[in-house]
Formats: sequence, C-alpha cells, structure tokens
Amino acid sequence: MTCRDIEDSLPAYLEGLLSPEESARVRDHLASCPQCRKAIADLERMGTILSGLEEVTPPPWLKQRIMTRVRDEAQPEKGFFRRLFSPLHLKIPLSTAALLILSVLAFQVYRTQETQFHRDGDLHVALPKPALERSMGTQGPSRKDHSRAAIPPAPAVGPSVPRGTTPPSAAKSAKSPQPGLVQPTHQSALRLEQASPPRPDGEGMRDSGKHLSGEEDAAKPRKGAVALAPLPLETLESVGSRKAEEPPVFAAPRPSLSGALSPPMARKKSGDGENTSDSAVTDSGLRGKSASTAEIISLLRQFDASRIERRTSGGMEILTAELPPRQVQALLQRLTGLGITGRAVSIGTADSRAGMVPVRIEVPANR
Amino acid sequence: MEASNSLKEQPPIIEDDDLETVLLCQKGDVEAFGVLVDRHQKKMLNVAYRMIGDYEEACDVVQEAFLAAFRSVAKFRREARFSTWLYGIVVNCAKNRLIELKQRKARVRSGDFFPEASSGKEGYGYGCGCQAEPLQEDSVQERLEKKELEARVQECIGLLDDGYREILVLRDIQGLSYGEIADVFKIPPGTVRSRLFRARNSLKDLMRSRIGDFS
Repeated sequence: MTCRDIEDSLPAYLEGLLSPEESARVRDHLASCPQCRKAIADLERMGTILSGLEEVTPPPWLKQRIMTRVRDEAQPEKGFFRRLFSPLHLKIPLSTAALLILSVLAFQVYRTQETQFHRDGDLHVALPKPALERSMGTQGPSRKDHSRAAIPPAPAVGPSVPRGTTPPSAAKSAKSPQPGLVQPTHQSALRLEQASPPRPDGEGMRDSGKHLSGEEDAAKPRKGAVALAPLPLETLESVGSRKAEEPPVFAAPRPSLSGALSPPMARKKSGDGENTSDSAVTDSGLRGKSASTAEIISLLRQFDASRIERRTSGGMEILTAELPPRQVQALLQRLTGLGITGRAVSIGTADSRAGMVPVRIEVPANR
Repeated sequence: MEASNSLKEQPPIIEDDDLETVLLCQKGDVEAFGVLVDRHQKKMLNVAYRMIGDYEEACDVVQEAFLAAFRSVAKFRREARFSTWLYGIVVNCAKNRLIELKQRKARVRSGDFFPEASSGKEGYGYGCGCQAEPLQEDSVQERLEKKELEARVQECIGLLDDGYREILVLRDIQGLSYGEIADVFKIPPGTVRSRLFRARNSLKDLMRSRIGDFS
C-alpha cells in the first residue's frame, strides 16, 4: 500500500468509516510515514478551519426584496401582464397616466358633443342670437325706437334664460306689444338710462316724474330713454340673467292704481350695494309686497309731487319726491293715517329757486 | 390491500419544523413564506457565498433561489425537509450563477478561470468584512490573520471542481448529514462520501500549495 493510497483513505479513516482491517493498516502506515502523518494533520486542521469559517449575515434589505418580489409573484394577473408586456414596460408615473387618460376622455366627450351639435340642425336654428345683435337687427334704422323695443320684456312665465341671450318672447313682444299685458320695458329702460351718461339738464329725471304722473304715459314711448349710449352687451346679459332669477311675473290687467311700480326694476347693482330706480314704472310692481309703497306714491301724486324716486336700500324702500310747500302738511297727515310717522318721514327745506320741498319716506321693503 | 396501497403512496414522514409554515404557503399565505425566509436566509446566503465567493452575487442568488422556491412551493411533496429542498435550489442557482460569471470573465479576460481572476481579494471574504460577524475576543492582529487565512481558504474552495465544491460546503461548512446531502443532489450516500473525501484531499492539496504549512 503506497502513501497515495493511504492519503486517499485518510478522510474515511478520520470519519471511522474504514473496516477494522483497513483502519489497522492505515494506523501502521502512519506510525512509520511522517509524510502521511503530515497529511492527516493537515486534514484535521483543514476541517477545523472550514468549520470555523466566519458566517456572513444577510443584509437587512434581503428579506424585504425577496418578499417584494414574492408578493408580486403572488398576484398572478399582474405578473402575467407584466411578463406579457415586459418588453414594452414603461415606467410612467401614475399622475401622468391619469392626466393622459383624462385628456383623451375630455377630447372624446368634446368630439361627441360637437358631432351632435352639427348633426342637429334645428339646434342651430333654435339657438337665440346674441341679444345685442338681434335687437340691432330687428329694430330698423331708428336707434330711438330700438332703445325701447330692444328692451326685453319679462317672460309670461319666468323661464330660465341663458346668459347672453334674450328669451324668444322678447323679440315678439318688442315687435307687437300686446295690450293688457304688462309692459316691462321700464326695467331695461332703466338699465339703459343708467348706462347712458347723465344729462346735465336732468331731463331724464323729470321724464320719470312725468311718466309716473300720468297713467297713460306708461304706454307711451319715453323721450328720456331715447338718446342712449350704445347699448352695452353686458347690460343686456345681466338683465337676461337676472330675469332667470326673478320670480315669474304674470300677465295681468293693469291695476286701477295708477303709477304703479314694477318689482324687477329695483334690483341691486353689483357695485354700489344700493338699488336705485326712478319712478318710471308700471303698475305691475304694486302687486304683492309693495302695496303700501304704491299707496304712498299715489298719495304723493295726489299732493302734486314731482320727481318721485324710489329705491331700495338695506331692506327699506326709500321714496323721495318734491312737493309744493302747501301740500306738505296734508301729506304728513295722510301718512300718519297710514301709520307712517316719525323717522320714516323726512321733510327738507324748500328749494329757494323752485320752491319745492324735498320729502323722503322710508318703509320696509316687504310691506 | 387498498390501505397498504394508500400507505405506499404517502410520502415518508419526515420531522420538519417548517412543515406547518410550508403548508400555509401552499395554501397561498404569502406572509408565511416570509417566516421561512427569515428562518433560512442566513444559511442559504452562507452556502451561496462559499460557493461563489462574492457577497453581492450571493445575495442575488439567494433572492433568485427564494423566488424559485416560492414558485415551486406547491410542488414541494415533503419527501425531504424543506431546508434540504431549499439547499438544492440555492446550490443550483449558485452553480448557474458561477457559470454565468465564468462566461462573463472569459469574455473580459480570455482563458482566465473566474476564482483566479478575482485575485483572492474581490468576492472572497475581503469585500464583505462589514457583513461578517465580529469576533470580540480576538485581537486586531489575530483577526487580520484569520481574515487572510479565510480568504485564502475561500479562494481554494473556489478552485475545487464542480461536484466537489458544493458537497464540501454543505458537509464541512454547513454541517449537513450525508443523508441530507444525498437528498439535495439525489445521489446515493456512498457517492456523497466518495466525492466528499476527494474534495477534502483536493482542498488540502490546494491549501498546501496556496497557503503553505497551515497545520
């Protein structure tokens, strides 16, 4: 038995796996062979080194990464699609993807709507022209007539009027005013007058007074509303939009009370916080809430009042007028009879030039 | 007769601490697999590291091995312990990775054998000192000497032939029994012994030539 044979059997000898005869033979050889003794010593030392090798520890992220991938694998559909589209897999942020989807959807909706509009020809016909354009087109050459006829009447039953348009009934009413129906031209006329530059002679105000003073004047064209600045589109739009918010005004016979006011005329202007209106109103406004105001106006007329103005401020209806001095006392007595006394009535000093006494009466707006 | 047949079909009962957890995994409990990862990742990493000699590569191999195990856990038939089954997967992944690394190295430096190309310093213990468990009782000098010796031993392990290296790692470093190693490689225990003895003698010769007198 050579040293090489002994060396080959040394691992088994160290493990005790050799037969007794083979073990005895190896033992005898080792006793006489220093080279093989060195070999078995090296094997034993090598075993010690191997079993004493330092262990490496897994990094903290190892389990996390493994489990992340395992959880991905656990979702079969996702894994399938990922594998399916793995060559095309693009890492698009979720927000970008959502934006793209929304854009496509919005475009699709737009396309659908556009197609529908184009297909439905009646819709184009039914679409009202812009208020200014139509009023310009239907009124003929006279701007004076236009200024009155273009005033959109209140709809018979208050429909919702789109912004920037006038209700279809407006044009009809402008062309052929129906007797017996309320003529709500005053509201837009007021707007037009407000939009126009103030005239130095105060004619408009006096016109208003005249207008109130005679019942038949309500149906006549008013001169004060004639010379107007170009009609701003915004004004008509705002009128139209406000009409949609107003309670419906029904056509009704003119009340017997002359010089009545219409409710829509006194609406807040967005800027000044105070509603102003002149008295050039019809009687339709007296119905309902402002009966007492109408009575006061009637009283004022009875006492030869002029320049009657009405406005609303802070929930109060404010009536101002000018009276001849001789009528003031009688008016106060009548007002007292109506329960309007004290701070509700203010009497100013007489104008030295015209000799008229300014009167200011405040009543709650809901009266 | 039917009873005896059914007994024959049943897999042999093997004591396995992981059995309960493995059953949960087979029922689809993903988090139970995390318990198995926790329990075995260190042993598997050491096997991979001793086979490859590179810490980062070993971590990568362990990830792949666990993922492969998760994919195949439903096929685990409990004929061996789960850890034994897992060792087999890790060894296979490590062997595949070694082949890849060798091919990569061959492309870079034609004719060089991968472990030699590493010069014994990259991926054979030096590069991962921060991950090694500290030895408090050793002095700094002793620790340095030990590190150097371990690096050289690791280098020698890397020079062992395929078929010897993994058996030596599993038996002499991880301490698996011949039976377990036989289960891992699906070879008879006698073959395991003979390969192991040859591996030991080869390593001893390599260490003599590379380290000198180490006894």
